Amino acid sequence: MNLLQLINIEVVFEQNTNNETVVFADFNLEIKKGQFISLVGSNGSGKTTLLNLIAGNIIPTKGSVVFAQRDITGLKEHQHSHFMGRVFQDPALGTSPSMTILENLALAEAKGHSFGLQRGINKKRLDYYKTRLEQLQLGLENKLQVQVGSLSSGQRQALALLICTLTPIKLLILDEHTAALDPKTSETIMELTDKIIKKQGVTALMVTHNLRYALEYGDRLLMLDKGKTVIDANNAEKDKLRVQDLVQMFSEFMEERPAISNLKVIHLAT
Amino acid sequence: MDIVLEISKGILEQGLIYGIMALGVYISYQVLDFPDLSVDGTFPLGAAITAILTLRQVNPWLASLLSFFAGGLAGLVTGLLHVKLKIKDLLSGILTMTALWSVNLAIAKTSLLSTYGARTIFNSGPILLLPAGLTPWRTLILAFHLALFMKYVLDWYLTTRSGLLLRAVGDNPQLVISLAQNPGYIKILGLIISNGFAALSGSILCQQQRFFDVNMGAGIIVIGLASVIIGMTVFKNLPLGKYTSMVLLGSILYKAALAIALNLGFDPNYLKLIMAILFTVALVSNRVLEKKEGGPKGRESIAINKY
Ligand SMILES: Nc1ncnc2c1ncn2[C@@H]1O[C@H](COP(=O)(O)OP(=O)(O)O)[C@@H](O)[C@H]1O
Ligand SMILES: [Mg+2]
Repeated sequence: MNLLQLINIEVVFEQNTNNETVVFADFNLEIKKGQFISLVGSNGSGKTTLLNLIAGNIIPTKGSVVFAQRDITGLKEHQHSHFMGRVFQDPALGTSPSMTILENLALAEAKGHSFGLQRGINKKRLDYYKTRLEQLQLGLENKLQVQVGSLSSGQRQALALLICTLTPIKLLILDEHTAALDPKTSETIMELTDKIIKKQGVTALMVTHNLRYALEYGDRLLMLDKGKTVIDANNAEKDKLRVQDLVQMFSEFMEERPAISNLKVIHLAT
Repeated sequence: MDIVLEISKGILEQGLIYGIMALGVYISYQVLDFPDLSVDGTFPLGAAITAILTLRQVNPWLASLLSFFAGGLAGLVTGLLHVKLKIKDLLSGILTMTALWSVNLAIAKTSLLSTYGARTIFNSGPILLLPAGLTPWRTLILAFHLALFMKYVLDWYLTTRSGLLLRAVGDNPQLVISLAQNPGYIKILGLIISNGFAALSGSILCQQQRFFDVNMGAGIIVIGLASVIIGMTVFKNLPLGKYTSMVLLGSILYKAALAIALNLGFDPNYLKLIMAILFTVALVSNRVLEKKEGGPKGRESIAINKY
């Protein structure tokens, strides 16, 4: 069953100006329930735009976004959050820095309920929060009263991931969510992400610059170039792919369009 | 000695009354991260409404409450200008502030309105239950309790779910979006509360000084911001608990500094100039202190939940 359908999508930035950029023209994508997709592509190929489109951050100039058989094109970004969660590249975007871990989790758990004058923090939930934090294995369970702004970016990203998935969501969007972390932390967060996705059985769409992650994790691989899907590999096909194959394909696209630098991709792939 | 006592009493009274407005500015400036100039209009709005109502024998407590709501309404306008019409935060406040000048004149029908003889919260109702010996301290006692009451209400509110969300929106609007809430609405809510506080403060001041002056709002934002910044700078390392307490103390300290300057013989015409200078000193020292400590972040602050 399809969880998400992008139908005949067109995205044009600054339409009818000199700076007009067509990112997608008649783009189509179907995401099945339960899939874990890794999405790769050179800089400027439209990955972030695609995620923004799904998250409701931008509205397509043409076409429709259908989520669980419902047309959600044009819904506000915060309305999309009712059924999806997103972890950003910047760990700061997923948490409230001046508030404590406890307050951040209390807020996260209230998602979907009314934000009225009831007590913000329910003491009875403390044990539950601690259990969830323990699963991150970063020692955060002993830091409930610590301000999130004082945590390391890896800890913050792990917390952002937890906040995102504390209440049930149907789709998890990951936008290069390990790119701002050092290699070791990046690895930890990636493993954690995989664990959470598997445990909750949530459908996931992950943009990554790390080709190894793209092959190692997930059960479907997409490569985007100039707003077009150039690879759509299912699990079996994906297993046969190797990092070198992807690098090879990247460089082929690069030769066609040398103006776009892909150093970052090559670098991370090695 | 009597003079010193009298001056100190005046400073405390004024500091506490203006402190309620400063609590409002704390919400907009510190919690929401919204530099809201509307308070220059909502503070006298509360005073104008209170002057007119108390002159018509309306219960002064009711007049104070209505002032709070009127301020909230003006805050709503600022919020709508910003969120719905996409006008810059600073400009939205300036628009409301400017419009309120006329509104305040329309309400009071004059630029200076004495309420002498009218019943106020300081000369009627529960305050009369105080023993006669405390009569000279009535104003201070009531101002103290009112400021403290508003502080506790605000402290309580900031621990509710709605309050947590308000704190989150100033911190990281994207998180609010992720929580499936409209950050624009939350900002509007914050501006309503903030300007409610400012108008209530103006209402209480009007009852204490027994007149409304259309100019009484000029520079209120500077007093509010200075109180917030002075309070949070000077008292941040003292075990005072919440920032709201520091803001109230900041307001008193600011009034004290002004009083000292005036008593040193400065011409009252230079009041606004002195205000601006004091504020500048507070701003700069705040930055210097922050630098010294390596910025507000960087160290792990455990269990200090000051909001
Ligand atoms: N808000 C915007 N305004 C104008 N152009 C944009 C905007 N966002 C993205 N683009 C353009 O769209 C193209 C795709 O960008 P993006 O989706 O960020 O690519 P990726 O994430 O794959 O690197 C780029 O050419 C970029 O310059
Ligand atoms: Mg991108």
